[in-house]
Amino acid sequence: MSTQLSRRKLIASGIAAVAGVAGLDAAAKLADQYGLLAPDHGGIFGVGEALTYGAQRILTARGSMAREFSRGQISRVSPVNHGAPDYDPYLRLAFNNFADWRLYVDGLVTKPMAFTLNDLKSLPSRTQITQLACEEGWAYIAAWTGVPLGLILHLVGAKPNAKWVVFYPFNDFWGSIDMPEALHPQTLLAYGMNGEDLSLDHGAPIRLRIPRQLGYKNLKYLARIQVVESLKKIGDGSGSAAPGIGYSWYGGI
Amino acid sequence: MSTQYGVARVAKRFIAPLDEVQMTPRIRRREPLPRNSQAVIGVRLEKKRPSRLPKIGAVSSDSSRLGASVCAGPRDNSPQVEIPRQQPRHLLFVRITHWIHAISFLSLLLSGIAILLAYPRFHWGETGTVGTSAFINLPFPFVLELGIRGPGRYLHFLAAWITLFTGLVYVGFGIQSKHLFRDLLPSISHFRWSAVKSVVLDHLRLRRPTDAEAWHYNLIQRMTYLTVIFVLLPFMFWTGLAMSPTFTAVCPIFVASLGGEQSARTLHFLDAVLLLIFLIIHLGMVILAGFGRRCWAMITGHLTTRKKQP
Repeated sequence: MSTQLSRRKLIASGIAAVAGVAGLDAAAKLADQYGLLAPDHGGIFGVGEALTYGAQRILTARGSMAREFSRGQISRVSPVNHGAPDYDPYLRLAFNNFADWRLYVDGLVTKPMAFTLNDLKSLPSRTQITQLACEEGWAYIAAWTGVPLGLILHLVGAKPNAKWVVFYPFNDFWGSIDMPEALHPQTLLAYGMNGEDLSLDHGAPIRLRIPRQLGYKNLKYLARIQVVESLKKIGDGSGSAAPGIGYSWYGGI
Repeated sequence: MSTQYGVARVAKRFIAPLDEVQMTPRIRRREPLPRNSQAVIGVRLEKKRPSRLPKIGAVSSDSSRLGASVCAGPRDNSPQVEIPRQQPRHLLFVRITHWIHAISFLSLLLSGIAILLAYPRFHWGETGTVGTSAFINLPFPFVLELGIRGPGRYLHFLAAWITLFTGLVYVGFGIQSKHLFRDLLPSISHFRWSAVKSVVLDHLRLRRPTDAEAWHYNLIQRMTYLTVIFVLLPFMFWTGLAMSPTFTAVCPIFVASLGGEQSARTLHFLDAVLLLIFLIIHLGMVILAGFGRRCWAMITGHLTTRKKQP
Protein backbone atom coordinates (compact mmCIF):
# COMPACT_ATOMS: atom_id res chain seq x y z
CA MET A 1 0.00 0.00 0.00
CA SER A 2 2.73 2.36 0.98
CA THR A 3 4.80 1.55 -2.10
CA GLN A 4 1.76 2.13 -4.26
CA LEU A 5 1.20 5.44 -2.61
CA SER A 6 4.79 6.50 -2.99
CA ARG A 7 4.78 5.47 -6.65
CA ARG A 8 1.63 7.46 -7.18
CA LYS A 9 3.28 10.37 -5.43
CA LEU A 10 6.34 10.00 -7.61
CA ILE A 11 4.31 10.02 -10.80
CA ALA A 12 2.29 12.98 -9.56
CA SER A 13 5.39 14.98 -8.71
CA GLY A 14 6.92 14.05 -12.07
CA ILE A 15 3.86 15.36 -13.87
CA ALA A 16 3.91 18.46 -11.66
CA ALA A 17 7.58 19.09 -12.53
CA VAL A 18 6.93 18.76 -16.26
CA ALA A 19 3.88 21.01 -15.95
CA GLY A 20 5.98 23.47 -13.97
CA VAL A 21 8.66 23.69 -16.66
CA ALA A 22 6.05 23.94 -19.41
CA GLY A 23 4.23 26.56 -17.34
CA LEU A 24 7.42 28.59 -16.92
CA ASP A 25 7.99 28.45 -20.66
CA ALA A 26 4.43 29.53 -21.38
CA ALA A 27 4.70 32.29 -18.77
CA ALA A 28 7.91 33.54 -20.39
CA LYS A 29 6.26 33.65 -23.83
CA LEU A 30 3.22 35.46 -22.44
CA ALA A 31 5.40 37.92 -20.51
CA ASP A 32 7.43 38.60 -23.65
CA GLN A 33 4.24 39.34 -25.57
CA TYR A 34 3.28 42.02 -23.05
CA GLY A 35 6.78 43.49 -22.87
CA LEU A 36 7.49 42.09 -19.42
CA LEU A 37 10.57 40.03 -20.21
CA ALA A 38 14.03 41.51 -19.73
CA PRO A 39 16.54 40.81 -22.54
CA ASP A 40 18.93 39.15 -20.04
CA HIS A 41 16.37 36.66 -18.67
CA GLY A 42 18.55 33.63 -19.46
CA GLY A 43 21.09 32.03 -17.17
CA ILE A 44 21.00 31.18 -13.48
CA PHE A 45 20.08 34.69 -12.32
CA GLY A 46 17.57 35.11 -15.14
CA VAL A 47 14.52 34.13 -13.10
CA GLY A 48 15.19 36.89 -10.58
CA GLU A 49 15.85 39.37 -13.35
CA ALA A 50 12.65 38.41 -15.16
CA LEU A 51 10.65 38.76 -11.92
CA THR A 52 12.17 42.13 -11.03
CA TYR A 53 11.67 43.62 -14.48
CA GLY A 54 8.20 42.13 -14.96
CA ALA A 55 7.03 43.24 -11.52
CA GLN A 56 8.34 46.78 -11.93
CA ARG A 57 6.83 47.09 -15.41
CA ILE A 58 3.45 45.99 -14.06
CA LEU A 59 3.78 48.48 -11.19
CA THR A 60 4.58 51.34 -13.56
CA ALA A 61 2.02 50.32 -16.20
CA ARG A 62 -0.34 53.11 -15.19
CA GLY A 63 2.45 55.67 -15.29
CA SER A 64 4.64 56.95 -12.51
CA MET A 65 6.89 59.93 -12.17
CA ALA A 66 10.32 59.84 -10.56
CA ARG A 67 10.60 62.08 -7.54
CA GLU A 68 11.56 65.66 -8.28
CA PHE A 69 13.26 67.94 -5.78
CA SER A 70 13.55 71.61 -4.98
CA ARG A 71 16.37 73.84 -6.15
CA GLY A 72 17.76 73.96 -2.60
CA GLN A 73 18.26 70.20 -2.59
CA ILE A 74 20.71 70.22 -5.51
CA SER A 75 23.98 68.58 -4.43
CA ARG A 76 27.19 70.57 -4.38
CA VAL A 77 29.21 67.52 -5.42
CA SER A 78 28.32 65.34 -8.42
CA PRO A 79 31.00 62.69 -8.91
CA VAL A 80 31.46 60.64 -12.07
CA ASN A 81 32.95 57.19 -12.46
CA HIS A 82 34.34 57.33 -15.97
CA GLY A 83 35.42 60.53 -17.63
CA ALA A 84 35.27 61.46 -21.29
CA PRO A 85 36.36 58.75 -23.73
CA ASP A 86 39.97 58.90 -24.82
CA TYR A 87 38.92 58.45 -28.41
CA ASP A 88 40.23 60.64 -31.19
CA PRO A 89 37.04 61.33 -33.17
CA TYR A 90 35.30 62.25 -29.92
CA LEU A 91 38.10 64.51 -28.72
CA ARG A 92 38.16 66.32 -32.07
CA LEU A 93 34.41 66.96 -31.84
CA ALA A 94 34.83 68.18 -28.27
CA PHE A 95 37.64 70.52 -29.28
CA ASN A 96 35.23 72.16 -31.72
CA ASN A 97 32.51 72.49 -29.05
CA PHE A 98 30.56 69.72 -30.80
CA ALA A 99 29.66 71.98 -33.73
CA ASP A 100 30.27 69.04 -36.11
CA TRP A 101 28.62 66.49 -33.86
CA ARG A 102 25.44 64.82 -35.09
CA LEU A 103 22.99 62.59 -33.33
CA TYR A 104 21.85 59.96 -35.80
CA VAL A 105 18.43 58.44 -35.20
CA ASP A 106 17.50 55.47 -37.38
CA GLY A 107 16.12 51.95 -37.33
CA LEU A 108 12.38 51.27 -37.30
CA VAL A 109 11.46 54.85 -38.17
CA THR A 110 9.69 56.41 -41.13
CA LYS A 111 12.20 59.28 -41.38
CA PRO A 112 15.78 58.70 -40.17
CA MET A 113 17.27 62.01 -39.02
CA ALA A 114 20.54 63.59 -37.89
CA PHE A 115 20.33 66.33 -35.25
CA THR A 116 22.94 68.95 -34.47
CA LEU A 117 23.33 70.13 -30.90
CA ASN A 118 21.61 73.40 -31.84
CA ASP A 119 18.73 71.44 -33.42
CA LEU A 120 18.20 69.68 -30.12
CA LYS A 121 18.48 72.90 -28.11
CA SER A 122 15.87 74.60 -30.30
CA LEU A 123 13.31 71.86 -29.61
CA PRO A 124 10.91 72.18 -26.66
CA SER A 125 12.91 71.34 -23.54
CA ARG A 126 12.22 70.11 -20.06
CA THR A 127 14.20 70.89 -16.91
CA GLN A 128 13.87 68.53 -13.97
CA ILE A 129 15.61 68.29 -10.60
CA THR A 130 16.04 64.59 -10.01
CA GLN A 131 18.27 62.17 -8.19
CA LEU A 132 20.99 60.13 -9.83
CA ALA A 133 21.65 57.01 -7.78
CA CYS A 134 24.69 54.92 -8.63
CA GLU A 135 24.51 51.15 -8.22
CA GLU A 136 27.65 51.49 -6.06
CA GLY A 137 25.50 53.11 -3.39
CA TRP A 138 26.00 56.87 -3.61
CA ALA A 139 23.54 59.42 -4.95
CA TYR A 140 23.32 63.09 -5.83
CA ILE A 141 20.64 65.51 -6.98
CA ALA A 142 21.00 67.85 -9.94
CA ALA A 143 18.90 69.80 -12.41
CA TRP A 144 18.99 68.40 -15.95
CA THR A 145 17.75 70.15 -19.09
CA GLY A 146 17.07 68.33 -22.31
CA VAL A 147 14.68 67.19 -25.00
CA PRO A 148 12.24 64.45 -24.06
CA LEU A 149 13.28 61.33 -25.98
CA GLY A 150 9.61 60.75 -26.80
CA LEU A 151 9.59 63.95 -28.83
CA ILE A 152 12.57 62.81 -30.92
CA LEU A 153 10.91 59.43 -31.51
CA HIS A 154 7.78 61.29 -32.60
CA LEU A 155 9.78 63.47 -35.02
CA VAL A 156 11.46 60.51 -36.70
CA GLY A 157 8.21 58.54 -36.70
CA ALA A 158 8.99 55.41 -34.70
CA LYS A 159 6.94 52.53 -36.08
CA PRO A 160 4.26 50.83 -33.97
CA ASN A 161 6.14 47.50 -33.87
CA ALA A 162 9.20 49.19 -32.35
CA LYS A 163 9.88 47.76 -28.88
CA TRP A 164 13.35 48.93 -27.87
CA VAL A 165 15.57 51.96 -28.28
CA VAL A 166 19.30 51.28 -28.56
CA PHE A 167 21.97 53.88 -27.72
CA TYR A 168 25.48 53.93 -29.12
CA PRO A 169 27.93 56.23 -27.35
CA PHE A 170 31.50 57.18 -28.23
CA ASN A 171 32.73 54.58 -25.73
CA ASP A 172 31.97 50.84 -25.66
CA PHE A 173 29.22 51.07 -23.09
CA TRP A 174 26.22 50.78 -25.37
CA GLY A 175 22.77 50.05 -24.02
CA SER A 176 19.04 50.00 -24.60
CA ILE A 177 15.76 50.79 -22.92
CA ASP A 178 12.22 49.60 -23.55
CA MET A 179 9.54 51.71 -25.27
CA PRO A 180 7.59 52.62 -22.07
CA GLU A 181 10.80 54.04 -20.58
CA ALA A 182 11.71 55.79 -23.87
CA LEU A 183 8.31 57.49 -24.11
CA HIS A 184 8.24 58.45 -20.42
CA PRO A 185 8.00 62.26 -20.05
CA GLN A 186 11.03 62.36 -17.70
CA THR A 187 13.30 60.46 -20.08
CA LEU A 188 15.51 63.17 -21.56
CA LEU A 189 18.35 63.59 -23.99
CA ALA A 190 20.03 66.00 -21.59
CA TYR A 191 22.40 68.70 -22.83
CA GLY A 192 22.38 70.89 -19.73
CA MET A 193 23.13 70.28 -16.07
CA ASN A 194 22.59 72.73 -13.22
CA GLY A 195 22.03 75.58 -15.69
CA GLU A 196 25.19 74.99 -17.72
CA ASP A 197 26.14 72.92 -20.73
CA LEU A 198 26.82 69.32 -19.87
CA SER A 199 30.51 68.98 -18.95
CA LEU A 200 32.78 66.44 -20.64
CA ASP A 201 32.83 64.34 -17.48
CA HIS A 202 29.06 64.27 -17.30
CA GLY A 203 28.58 63.09 -20.86
CA ALA A 204 28.84 66.00 -23.31
CA PRO A 205 27.33 66.74 -25.70
CA ILE A 206 24.26 64.77 -24.58
CA ARG A 207 23.56 61.99 -22.18
CA LEU A 208 20.50 59.88 -21.64
CA ARG A 209 18.74 60.85 -18.43
CA ILE A 210 16.28 58.25 -17.05
CA PRO A 211 15.54 59.19 -13.45
CA ARG A 212 13.57 55.98 -12.87
CA GLN A 213 16.70 53.89 -13.38
CA LEU A 214 20.14 53.75 -11.79
CA GLY A 215 23.13 55.78 -12.92
CA TYR A 216 24.67 53.21 -15.25
CA LYS A 217 21.58 53.21 -17.48
CA ASN A 218 22.00 56.97 -18.02
CA LEU A 219 24.39 56.59 -20.95
CA LYS A 220 26.78 59.42 -21.76
CA TYR A 221 28.51 60.67 -24.96
CA LEU A 222 25.70 59.58 -27.29
CA ALA A 223 26.35 59.34 -31.03
CA ARG A 224 23.52 57.25 -32.45
CA ILE A 225 20.06 56.07 -31.49
CA GLN A 226 18.48 53.07 -33.14
CA VAL A 227 14.86 51.98 -32.83
CA VAL A 228 14.39 48.20 -33.07
CA GLU A 229 11.82 45.46 -32.65
CA SER A 230 14.20 42.88 -31.21
CA LEU A 231 17.51 43.10 -29.37
CA LYS A 232 18.51 39.55 -30.26
CA LYS A 233 20.76 40.47 -33.18
CA ILE A 234 22.42 43.44 -31.54
CA GLY A 235 25.71 42.77 -29.82
CA ASP A 236 25.50 39.60 -27.74
CA GLY A 237 21.71 39.85 -27.64
CA SER A 238 21.54 40.78 -23.97
CA GLY A 239 20.41 44.33 -24.68
CA SER A 240 23.46 46.24 -23.49
CA ALA A 241 27.12 46.02 -22.62
CA ALA A 242 26.18 45.72 -18.92
CA PRO A 243 25.34 41.96 -18.79
CA GLY A 244 28.66 41.26 -20.48
CA ILE A 245 30.48 42.65 -17.45
CA GLY A 246 28.09 41.08 -14.94
CA TYR A 247 25.46 43.81 -14.55
CA SER A 248 21.76 43.46 -15.19
CA TRP A 249 20.29 45.05 -18.29
CA TYR A 250 17.52 46.59 -16.20
CA GLY A 251 18.53 49.27 -13.72
CA GLY A 252 15.26 49.99 -11.94
CA ILE A 253 16.52 48.71 -8.57
CA MET B 1 -15.86 11.18 36.12
CA SER B 2 -14.44 9.10 38.91
CA THR B 3 -12.11 7.27 36.52
CA GLN B 4 -10.94 10.55 35.25
CA TYR B 5 -10.10 11.66 38.72
CA GLY B 6 -8.43 8.36 39.43
CA VAL B 7 -6.21 8.47 36.38
CA ALA B 8 -5.35 12.05 37.01
CA ARG B 9 -4.45 11.33 40.60
CA VAL B 10 -2.22 8.44 39.62
CA ALA B 11 -0.61 10.60 37.07
CA LYS B 12 -0.09 13.35 39.58
CA ARG B 13 1.56 11.04 42.02
CA PHE B 14 4.08 9.61 39.60
CA ILE B 15 4.44 12.32 37.16
CA ALA B 16 4.67 16.03 37.52
CA PRO B 17 1.96 18.36 37.09
CA LEU B 18 -1.55 17.35 36.46
CA ASP B 19 -1.99 19.88 33.74
CA GLU B 20 0.65 18.23 31.66
CA VAL B 21 -1.32 15.03 31.51
CA GLN B 22 -4.74 16.44 30.99
CA MET B 23 -3.80 19.08 28.55
CA THR B 24 -4.02 18.44 24.88
CA PRO B 25 -0.90 19.03 22.81
CA ARG B 26 -2.24 22.40 21.88
CA ILE B 27 -2.21 23.62 25.43
CA ARG B 28 1.00 21.85 26.30
CA ARG B 29 2.84 23.64 23.59
CA ARG B 30 1.74 27.05 24.75
CA GLU B 31 2.52 26.46 28.41
CA PRO B 32 6.13 26.93 29.35
CA LEU B 33 7.34 23.83 31.09
CA PRO B 34 7.71 24.33 34.84
CA ARG B 35 11.34 24.73 35.75
CA ASN B 36 11.21 22.25 38.60
CA SER B 37 9.72 19.55 36.48
CA GLN B 38 11.54 16.33 37.22
CA ALA B 39 9.76 14.30 34.66
CA VAL B 40 9.23 14.17 31.03
CA ILE B 41 5.82 13.38 29.84
CA GLY B 42 5.10 12.21 26.42
CA VAL B 43 1.55 11.99 25.30
CA ARG B 44 1.15 10.20 22.05
CA LEU B 45 -0.46 12.60 19.72
CA GLU B 46 -2.96 12.01 17.04
CA LYS B 47 -1.61 12.29 13.54
CA LYS B 48 -3.73 15.33 12.94
CA ARG B 49 -3.66 18.15 15.43
CA PRO B 50 -7.01 18.66 17.15
CA SER B 51 -8.64 21.62 15.57
CA ARG B 52 -10.11 22.74 18.85
CA LEU B 53 -9.69 21.92 22.47
CA PRO B 54 -11.13 18.48 23.25
CA LYS B 55 -13.09 18.11 26.46
CA ILE B 56 -11.10 17.01 29.46
CA GLY B 57 -13.18 13.87 29.67
CA ALA B 58 -12.25 12.95 26.15
CA VAL B 59 -8.60 12.76 27.02
CA SER B 60 -8.89 11.09 30.38
CA SER B 61 -11.48 8.53 29.43
CA ASP B 62 -8.99 7.06 27.00
CA SER B 63 -6.98 5.71 29.86
CA SER B 64 -5.22 3.10 27.75
CA ARG B 65 -3.58 5.83 25.76
CA LEU B 66 -2.28 7.49 28.84
CA GLY B 67 -0.98 4.30 30.35
CA ALA B 68 0.77 3.30 27.17
CA SER B 69 2.53 6.46 26.40
CA VAL B 70 3.25 8.31 29.57
CA CYS B 71 6.69 7.61 30.73
CA ALA B 72 8.51 9.27 33.49
CA GLY B 73 11.96 9.57 34.82
CA PRO B 74 13.85 12.09 36.89
CA ARG B 75 15.94 14.33 34.74
CA ASP B 76 19.23 13.96 36.51
CA ASN B 77 19.85 10.35 37.24
CA SER B 78 17.95 7.99 35.01
CA PRO B 79 18.26 8.11 31.25
CA GLN B 80 15.25 9.29 29.40
CA VAL B 81 13.43 6.90 27.20
CA GLU B 82 12.74 8.02 23.72
CA ILE B 83 9.07 8.08 23.06
CA PRO B 84 8.02 7.56 19.51
CA ARG B 85 6.08 10.65 18.59
CA GLN B 86 4.04 10.98 15.49
CA GLN B 87 4.00 14.72 15.79
CA PRO B 88 7.31 16.04 14.45
CA ARG B 89 9.23 18.64 16.42
CA HIS B 90 9.14 20.90 13.36
CA LEU B 91 6.30 20.73 10.88
CA LEU B 92 7.19 19.86 7.29
CA PHE B 93 6.55 23.35 5.92
CA VAL B 94 8.67 24.87 8.70
CA ARG B 95 11.55 22.55 7.83
CA ILE B 96 11.38 23.21 4.10
CA THR B 97 11.03 27.00 4.41
CA HIS B 98 13.74 27.09 7.11
CA TRP B 99 16.37 25.59 4.84
CA ILE B 100 15.35 27.58 1.78
CA HIS B 101 15.59 30.69 3.92
CA ALA B 102 18.95 29.56 5.29
CA ILE B 103 20.35 29.39 1.75
CA SER B 104 18.68 32.57 0.50
CA PHE B 105 19.72 34.49 3.62
CA LEU B 106 23.36 33.47 3.17
CA SER B 107 23.12 34.48 -0.50
CA LEU B 108 21.69 37.85 0.46
CA LEU B 109 24.37 38.34 3.10
CA LEU B 110 27.30 37.50 0.82
CA SER B 111 25.96 39.43 -2.18
CA GLY B 112 25.08 42.31 0.14
CA ILE B 113 28.68 42.47 1.33
CA ALA B 114 29.86 42.38 -2.30
CA ILE B 115 27.61 45.36 -3.08
CA LEU B 116 28.48 47.21 0.13
CA LEU B 117 32.23 47.05 -0.48
CA ALA B 118 31.92 49.31 -3.54
CA TYR B 119 31.02 52.14 -1.22
CA PRO B 120 31.51 51.19 2.45
CA ARG B 121 30.18 54.41 3.93
CA PHE B 122 26.72 55.61 4.83
CA HIS B 123 24.92 58.92 4.69
CA TRP B 124 21.68 60.31 6.06
CA GLY B 125 19.11 62.05 3.89
CA GLU B 126 18.60 61.95 0.13
CA THR B 127 22.16 62.33 -1.11
CA GLY B 128 25.69 61.36 -0.23
CA THR B 129 28.82 60.88 -2.28
CA VAL B 130 32.55 60.98 -1.97
CA GLY B 131 33.33 64.47 -0.76
CA THR B 132 30.31 64.80 1.51
CA SER B 133 30.10 64.04 5.21
CA ALA B 134 29.42 60.42 6.09
CA PHE B 135 27.12 59.11 8.81
CA ILE B 136 29.00 55.82 9.19
CA ASN B 137 32.43 55.23 7.72
CA LEU B 138 33.36 51.55 7.69
CA PRO B 139 37.08 50.77 7.80
CA PHE B 140 37.06 48.94 4.47
CA PRO B 141 38.69 49.89 1.19
CA PHE B 142 36.51 50.79 -1.80
CA VAL B 143 36.38 47.56 -3.80
CA LEU B 144 35.55 48.70 -7.31
CA GLU B 145 37.64 46.73 -9.77
CA LEU B 146 36.85 43.25 -8.48
CA GLY B 147 34.00 41.80 -10.55
CA ILE B 148 31.83 40.80 -7.59
CA ARG B 149 29.29 43.61 -7.52
CA GLY B 150 27.42 42.94 -10.76
CA PRO B 151 26.87 39.22 -10.09
CA GLY B 152 26.26 40.19 -6.47
CA ARG B 153 23.39 42.43 -7.51
CA TYR B 154 21.91 39.67 -9.72
CA LEU B 155 22.16 37.19 -6.83
CA HIS B 156 20.83 39.70 -4.28
CA PHE B 157 17.58 40.25 -6.15
CA LEU B 158 17.12 36.58 -7.05
CA ALA B 159 17.61 35.62 -3.39
CA ALA B 160 15.27 38.44 -2.32
CA TRP B 161 12.51 37.02 -4.53
CA ILE B 162 13.10 33.53 -3.11
CA THR B 163 13.02 34.92 0.43
CA LEU B 164 9.80 36.78 -0.32
CA PHE B 165 7.97 33.81 -1.86
CA THR B 166 9.21 31.40 0.79
CA GLY B 167 8.29 33.88 3.50
CA LEU B 168 4.76 34.23 2.14
CA VAL B 169 4.42 30.43 1.98
CA TYR B 170 5.67 30.21 5.58
CA VAL B 171 3.26 32.84 6.89
CA GLY B 172 0.38 31.32 4.90
CA PHE B 173 0.97 27.82 6.24
CA GLY B 174 1.80 29.30 9.64
CA ILE B 175 -1.65 30.82 9.86
CA GLN B 176 -3.43 27.82 8.34
CA SER B 177 -1.72 25.30 10.64
CA LYS B 178 -1.90 27.69 13.63
CA HIS B 179 1.89 27.27 13.97
CA LEU B 180 2.30 31.01 14.37
CA PHE B 181 -0.25 31.23 17.17
CA ARG B 182 0.61 27.99 18.94
CA ASP B 183 4.37 27.78 18.63
CA LEU B 184 5.47 31.40 18.31
CA LEU B 185 2.89 33.68 19.91
CA PRO B 186 3.66 33.76 23.64
CA SER B 187 0.81 33.08 26.01
CA ILE B 188 0.03 35.08 29.13
CA SER B 189 1.77 32.45 31.26
CA HIS B 190 5.07 33.14 29.46
CA PHE B 191 5.00 36.59 30.95
CA ARG B 192 4.64 35.48 34.56
CA TRP B 193 7.51 36.99 36.48
CA SER B 194 8.90 33.62 37.58
CA ALA B 195 8.79 32.28 34.03
CA VAL B 196 10.46 35.36 32.58
CA LYS B 197 13.12 35.29 35.30
CA SER B 198 13.95 31.65 34.76
CA VAL B 199 14.14 31.90 30.99
CA VAL B 200 16.37 34.97 31.16
CA LEU B 201 18.62 33.36 33.76
CA ASP B 202 18.83 30.18 31.69
CA HIS B 203 20.02 32.18 28.72
CA LEU B 204 22.48 34.20 30.78
CA ARG B 205 23.94 31.04 32.28
CA LEU B 206 23.99 29.39 28.82
CA ARG B 207 22.22 26.41 30.33
CA ARG B 208 21.56 23.61 27.89
CA PRO B 209 17.84 23.08 27.46
CA THR B 210 16.51 19.75 28.67
CA ASP B 211 14.98 17.32 26.23
CA ALA B 212 11.55 18.30 27.46
CA GLU B 213 12.23 22.00 26.99
CA ALA B 214 13.45 21.33 23.48
CA TRP B 215 9.88 20.53 22.46
CA HIS B 216 8.73 24.12 22.84
CA TYR B 217 10.07 27.53 22.07
CA ASN B 218 10.66 29.58 25.18
CA LEU B 219 9.68 33.20 25.57
CA ILE B 220 12.96 34.63 24.25
CA GLN B 221 12.87 32.35 21.20
CA ARG B 222 9.27 33.27 20.46
CA MET B 223 9.88 37.00 20.73
CA THR B 224 13.08 36.78 18.65
CA TYR B 225 11.54 34.71 15.87
CA LEU B 226 8.46 36.93 15.70
CA THR B 227 10.68 40.03 15.54
CA VAL B 228 12.80 38.56 12.75
CA ILE B 229 9.80 37.35 10.74
CA PHE B 230 7.48 40.32 11.17
CA VAL B 231 9.80 43.27 11.81
CA LEU B 232 13.39 42.84 10.62
CA LEU B 233 12.75 40.94 7.37
CA PRO B 234 9.82 43.12 6.20
CA PHE B 235 11.91 46.18 7.03
CA MET B 236 14.69 44.80 4.81
CA PHE B 237 12.22 44.68 1.92
CA TRP B 238 10.94 48.14 2.76
CA THR B 239 14.39 49.76 2.89
CA GLY B 240 15.55 47.77 -0.13
CA LEU B 241 12.61 48.90 -2.26
CA ALA B 242 13.12 52.46 -1.00
CA MET B 243 16.45 52.42 -2.88
CA SER B 244 14.79 51.44 -6.17
CA PRO B 245 14.22 54.53 -8.33
CA THR B 246 11.44 52.78 -10.24
CA PHE B 247 9.69 51.60 -7.11
CA THR B 248 9.89 55.00 -5.40
CA ALA B 249 8.46 56.59 -8.56
CA VAL B 250 5.36 54.45 -7.93
CA CYS B 251 5.34 54.71 -4.11
CA PRO B 252 7.32 57.80 -3.03
CA ILE B 253 6.10 57.37 0.56
CA PHE B 254 8.36 54.32 0.89
CA VAL B 255 11.47 56.47 0.75
CA ALA B 256 10.07 59.78 2.01
CA SER B 257 9.04 58.16 5.30
CA LEU B 258 12.62 57.04 5.89
CA GLY B 259 14.18 60.43 5.29
CA GLY B 260 15.63 59.81 1.84
CA GLU B 261 17.37 57.33 -0.40
CA GLN B 262 20.66 57.38 1.50
CA SER B 263 18.83 57.02 4.82
CA ALA B 264 17.11 53.96 3.36
CA ARG B 265 20.51 52.52 2.43
CA THR B 266 21.84 53.20 5.93
CA LEU B 267 18.79 51.58 7.56
CA HIS B 268 19.07 48.62 5.16
CA PHE B 269 22.63 48.13 6.40
CA LEU B 270 21.74 48.50 10.10
CA ASP B 271 18.86 46.04 9.71
CA ALA B 272 21.26 43.63 8.00
CA VAL B 273 23.61 43.96 10.98
CA LEU B 274 20.74 43.08 13.34
CA LEU B 275 19.89 40.05 11.20
CA LEU B 276 23.53 39.02 11.19
CA ILE B 277 23.61 39.28 15.01
CA PHE B 278 20.46 37.13 15.08
CA LEU B 279 22.14 34.56 12.81
CA ILE B 280 25.23 34.39 15.02
CA ILE B 281 23.23 34.04 18.25
CA HIS B 282 20.87 31.55 16.60
CA LEU B 283 23.81 29.38 15.51
CA GLY B 284 25.41 29.75 18.94
CA MET B 285 22.25 28.61 20.69
CA VAL B 286 21.81 25.69 18.30
CA ILE B 287 25.38 24.61 19.04
CA LEU B 288 24.69 24.97 22.76
CA ALA B 289 21.56 22.85 22.48
CA GLY B 290 23.32 20.20 20.39
CA PHE B 291 24.08 21.13 16.81
CA GLY B 292 23.73 17.70 15.21
CA ARG B 293 20.50 16.78 16.96
CA ARG B 294 18.91 20.14 16.29
CA CYS B 295 19.89 20.15 12.64
CA TRP B 296 18.60 16.60 12.37
CA ALA B 297 15.32 17.72 13.92
CA MET B 298 15.08 20.60 11.47
CA ILE B 299 15.74 18.22 8.56
CA THR B 300 13.68 15.15 9.50
CA GLY B 301 11.36 16.53 12.15
CA HIS B 302 12.52 13.97 14.70
CA LEU B 303 14.04 15.31 17.86
CA THR B 304 16.19 12.51 19.24
CA THR B 305 16.94 12.21 22.92
CA ARG B 306 20.34 13.12 24.16
CA LYS B 307 22.46 10.07 24.96
CA LYS B 308 24.31 11.50 27.90
CA GLN B 309 22.71 13.73 30.43
CA PRO B 310 24.61 16.82 31.48
